[in-house]
Amino acid sequence: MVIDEQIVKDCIAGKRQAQRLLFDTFAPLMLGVCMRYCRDRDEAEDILQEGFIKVFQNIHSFRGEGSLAGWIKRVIVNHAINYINKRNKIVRHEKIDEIRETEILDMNEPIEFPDEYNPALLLKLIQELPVGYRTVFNLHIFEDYGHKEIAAALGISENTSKTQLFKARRWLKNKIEENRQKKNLK
Amino acid sequence: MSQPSNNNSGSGKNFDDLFRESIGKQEFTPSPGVWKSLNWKLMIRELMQFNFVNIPKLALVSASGGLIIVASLTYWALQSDSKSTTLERPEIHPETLVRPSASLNIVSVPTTEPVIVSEKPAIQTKLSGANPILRAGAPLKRNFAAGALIASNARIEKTVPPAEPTTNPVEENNAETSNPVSFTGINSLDPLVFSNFDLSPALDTISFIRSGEVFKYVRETMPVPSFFSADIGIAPEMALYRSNGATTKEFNYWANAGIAYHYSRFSIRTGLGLGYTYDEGIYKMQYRSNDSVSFYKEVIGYYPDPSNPSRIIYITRNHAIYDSVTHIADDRTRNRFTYLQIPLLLGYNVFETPRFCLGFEAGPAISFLINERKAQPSIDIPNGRLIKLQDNSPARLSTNWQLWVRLTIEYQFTKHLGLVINPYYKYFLTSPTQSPENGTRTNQAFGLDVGIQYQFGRKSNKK
Repeated sequence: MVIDEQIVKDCIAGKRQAQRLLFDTFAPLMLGVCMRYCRDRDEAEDILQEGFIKVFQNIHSFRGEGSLAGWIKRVIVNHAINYINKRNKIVRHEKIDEIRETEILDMNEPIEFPDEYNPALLLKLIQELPVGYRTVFNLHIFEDYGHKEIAAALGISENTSKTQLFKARRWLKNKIEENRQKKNLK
Repeated sequence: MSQPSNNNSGSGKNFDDLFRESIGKQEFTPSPGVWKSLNWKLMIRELMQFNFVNIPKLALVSASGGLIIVASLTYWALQSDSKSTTLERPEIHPETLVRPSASLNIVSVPTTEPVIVSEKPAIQTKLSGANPILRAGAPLKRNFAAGALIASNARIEKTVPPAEPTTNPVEENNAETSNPVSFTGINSLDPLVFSNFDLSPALDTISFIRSGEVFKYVRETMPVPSFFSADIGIAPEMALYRSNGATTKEFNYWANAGIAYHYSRFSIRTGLGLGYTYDEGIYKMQYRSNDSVSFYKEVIGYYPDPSNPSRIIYITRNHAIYDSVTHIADDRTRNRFTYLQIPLLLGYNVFETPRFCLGFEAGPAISFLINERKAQPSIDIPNGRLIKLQDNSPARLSTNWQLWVRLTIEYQFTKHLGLVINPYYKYFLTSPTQSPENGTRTNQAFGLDVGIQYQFGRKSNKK
């Protein structure tokens, strides 16, 4: 579905049909984004709803210079961050200094993944991450945020952001390794 | 923007890329209830956003048309009603069932001096009509204005034989009281009869004979008007927020409903008001954008100049250089707050006629913040990314006290229904806002409440 300028204008005017069209077009992709930030689908749909309300409230500020999907994604991600900041206490006391050098070296070792990567499994692993790890991992991997930007967005230090990212990777690596071993045993 | 780390997997797949490629563009179909719920929330928000200025043009035209029709119908109804209304009729009417009483001293006087007064102590006679009407009291005093006498709720009665009908000269159009018998002389009696006499407040009745007929002038005790009224209205309002010498203006809108109890010229009023008030949202945005600040040339090839082999010609390509400076921008938005207010006003009518009334009301009011809607700042930063968003908007307190003073102007279309126009002034005893930067701000507001009022149980007209 192509969203043209007229639909955006209709959305600005508050026309429900246009809003429905916009929602139907972008909601599946945006729900995928929300799913990465939440533990379950219900929570993701809550964020999606509130996020789209913000989209419709602020669509007048979309100037059409970039892609509409990118703009909507940014609004949804910002809302997800706010939602997480309000509802969860992100661990902020960890410092990169606390991580032993050996652990960092471990991360550079190759990880063997199954030949066929199951997206559902990977999403499940992300959802099982502790909220702090998950948020930093998502922002860094999927939204291309730098540690400075993550730190500003979440109100944490850069070092904490680095720590969280490192731990998230290590946690995921361990989980993938466990799954691989289980599969081999079978 | 940082580069993703390069943690390689055993299969040669980058660890981060594995996730990006697998679930970066993963899609899920939302549950059917998501749109329904979203639709409902949007509708509620639209209702909450209704602020009397964002009304669609079609609705505005329809409302205007409806208002004109209602006004026309009201005017037509009033024109019809005015032919039969007795709203402003004098309170003078004859009572036909009065017999001359033996206990009443009646003295004949010349027709031009037609006054006879009972000098005896009060005598009350139950007459053959429904009303006790004959009372003789203290002596008359001279030099009292007849107009005042009539205005103080008097009626003139004529004593006639019971079977003989009479005519009310004042209410000639009233079919129930019309009577073929003439009531001659009564009009001329108004100035002539009473201009030379003063009635003490205790005196209720004057009897007199004119042209051989006995008339009585009876003062009726009028009850003090007391009744309830209910009113609804809307009030656009201009609020002035003053802080550190600077004043900002915002327009607010209220929908009010109230109930009042009137006793004589005094009234006490309370009610509920639902209002939308606005204030400025102040945001400080920190963002980083990829602004091109310069470029460099990359040499992608070279060759000797054919015309001058000792010279080398380089083929280059421009590359933009972007800065990584953090930008700070201020953004102003318009935040909307919904309040519920409860006033308690004491009023006094300075001027009253049956149709028009002018007075004032004053008293305290309390407002409760029941909803706030903060507009999001504009976050569309081309080629940039928001780093920090700081909200410096003045905080709203949940309750605040105000002192109201308002002029009340009422115009009665009918005995019960009227138009009310109340210009008012509010002074905030406790400020509704608290600015993080500027501290508490003082506020005041001016507004105009326009609405309709319905009066319940009003049995007597105001003078």
